[in-house]
Amino acid sequence: MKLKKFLLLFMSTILFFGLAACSSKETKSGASDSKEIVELRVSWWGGQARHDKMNELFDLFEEKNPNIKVSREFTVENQYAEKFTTQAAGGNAPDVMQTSSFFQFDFVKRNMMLDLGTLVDSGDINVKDLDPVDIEGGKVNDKLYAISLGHNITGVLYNKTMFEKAGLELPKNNWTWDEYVETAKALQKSLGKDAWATEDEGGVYRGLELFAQQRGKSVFKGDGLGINKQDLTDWFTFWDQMRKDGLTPPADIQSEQGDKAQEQSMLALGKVAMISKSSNQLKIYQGSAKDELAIVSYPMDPNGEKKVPLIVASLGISAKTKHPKEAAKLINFVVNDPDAAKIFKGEHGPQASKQMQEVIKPLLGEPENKEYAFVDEMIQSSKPYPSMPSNSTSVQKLLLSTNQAIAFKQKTISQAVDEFFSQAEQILNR
Amino acid sequence: MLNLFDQKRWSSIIPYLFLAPWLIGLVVFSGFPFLSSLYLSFTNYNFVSSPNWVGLKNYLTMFTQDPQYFQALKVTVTYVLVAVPLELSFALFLALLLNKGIRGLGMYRAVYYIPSLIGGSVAIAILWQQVFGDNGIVNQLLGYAGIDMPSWVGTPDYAIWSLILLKVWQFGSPMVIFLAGLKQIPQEFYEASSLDGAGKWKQFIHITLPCLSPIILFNGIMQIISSFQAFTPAYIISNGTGGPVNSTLFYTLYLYQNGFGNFQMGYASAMAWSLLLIIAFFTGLIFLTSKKWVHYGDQG
Repeated sequence: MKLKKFLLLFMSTILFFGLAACSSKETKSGASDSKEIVELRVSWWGGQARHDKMNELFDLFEEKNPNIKVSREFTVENQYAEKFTTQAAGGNAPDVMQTSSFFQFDFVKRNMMLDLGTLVDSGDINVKDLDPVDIEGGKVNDKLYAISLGHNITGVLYNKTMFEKAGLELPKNNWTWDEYVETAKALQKSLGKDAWATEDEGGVYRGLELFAQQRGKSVFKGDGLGINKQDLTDWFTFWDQMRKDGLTPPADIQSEQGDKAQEQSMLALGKVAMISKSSNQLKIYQGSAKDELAIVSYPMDPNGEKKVPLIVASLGISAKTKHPKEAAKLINFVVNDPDAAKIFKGEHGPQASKQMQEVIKPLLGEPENKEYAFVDEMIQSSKPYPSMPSNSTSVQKLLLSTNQAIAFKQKTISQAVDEFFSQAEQILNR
Repeated sequence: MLNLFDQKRWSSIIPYLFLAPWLIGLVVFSGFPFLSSLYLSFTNYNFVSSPNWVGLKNYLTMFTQDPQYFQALKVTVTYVLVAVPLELSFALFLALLLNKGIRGLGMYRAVYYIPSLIGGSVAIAILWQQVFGDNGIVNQLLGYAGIDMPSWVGTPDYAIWSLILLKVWQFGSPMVIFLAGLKQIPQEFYEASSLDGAGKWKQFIHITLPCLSPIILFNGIMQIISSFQAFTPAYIISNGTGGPVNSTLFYTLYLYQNGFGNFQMGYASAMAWSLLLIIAFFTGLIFLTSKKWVHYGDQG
């Protein structure tokens, strides 16, 4: 009897500790010496084509650095920040992460990114060949946090074939808002009923930002809004007129579009003739479009500010990384190694290093050549992207739903503007 | 000094030793987060710096300054009040049909159960987005009938209906439970009542429904709780926005946007605790009224 009890106790103890042992996994960490394999975690966002590219790139890096193993985490863009921030909060952020002008201010504010100053000084990251505008684009409060993978300028991607069918002259950089509207009307005449001149972009933050900058302002200023009610009213009124003139898809089709992947976009499917996007997207959209696409600058106010903000996509290092040297090595490889450049081929736009641009020049296709020509012309009058407060993503969502409310005639423009301001201020003050 | 071989003591402890892995799991993985989120709901916590105590500020903001919160509440309550009764009626209707002793019952039961298993998945939500899109199957079929409809998922007044239909389509699990309940009702009741001249409808009202009432209560509460917590379909179909114009901004979706989009974990925790109270209120209401309409067999 006693034995039976003892066995029971013994077995339950075994069971308990056995379970505990199953669930714990030893992880290696600490100082790395040359013999030990170091594991670097890298995260990025993008579509399938980019994932294939990045995998090829890191396979080559592992080949050149047998003591480093690169484990890869990738996702789509609109879930990237959420995932990364959650990881960082849990203390397991990847060592190297992709970031951009849209994310870096927030990431730095949350102390997630490492100041790269010491790694640059020690020569682990070589920035000598990088364009000053790219260096400037990776800075927050005058400290370098991100190394540029390439630079972009927002432009209007347009369907060249549709322009030719309509017998229109192709648009030229620095065209005005009036020319933009005239072009859209002329396009619409030839497009008929099942396609539209442009997507409805009244809810697109990026467009409003450019519109505000042409007035010498910015959507955000410090931790608040940098535009006034009149600016927003003018913006919504412009797009409302575009809708009334039948130049954009009906509200239901536009809202269904959401942020679908490039291959399912209305531009790729030949449902709209123009959308505004980062310049590096041209080749990605072209990859799934039948017609020929091209790029032109975003419409300008002829009497307004002419400088366009430069968007930089970049790599940064996690503030809590245990392997800063290896992380720096990887970044240095991506931005300065010719073999890497041949694989990467300016995925994020013209690379910061002029030498790398030369290396890949012979390998580029037609869409890239158009993109480079566009960026090279526009970059003459560019400036760094303005910083954004935390919670700015919510204000961007609010802009989208406000524009939808006007498009569906649920609110008048003045109602919508008033509500936008009170809600945006409430979000930013939370 | 503990006597290792004291039988009495051990016989009371041993069950707990066997339960230990689960008990520890419950405390560590459920209890601790549960209480943490209660604490966080009184703080301002952005995921990075440590939480600082703000008292009731989150709750006050929610109920006095956040129109989106009320929009989310409105959408969710509408969804629950419409989708749950529809789903349960449909499930009961099919259970009654299948209970007629048709051949191949097992097959029907299995086929109808499938949507319940996959209905909450991402793949089905994406399929739904296509089916109810501007050029989706639904609109094409309506087009043949000469009805011209806009995009369901793209129009504020209809988008919520595509989600309600998705919920109703998952009638399989309550249906299976109803079927089991119908099997429990003694045949004598029906025989006796038909001798007394009761028709099918009378039998349904006076025998089937009262005998099934405990099952209806169970299904009702389960479905209400799961509907309040619905997230995936709305998240996928609206691309994470709750659009168009916040017409599908489910409570959980808005909570997620605050927590993981804005990193306002304190505010999100406060929303989660409010949701707990709201669900408790609704289930409590049902339990209180259940004395009136739920009949257990042993009450004679």
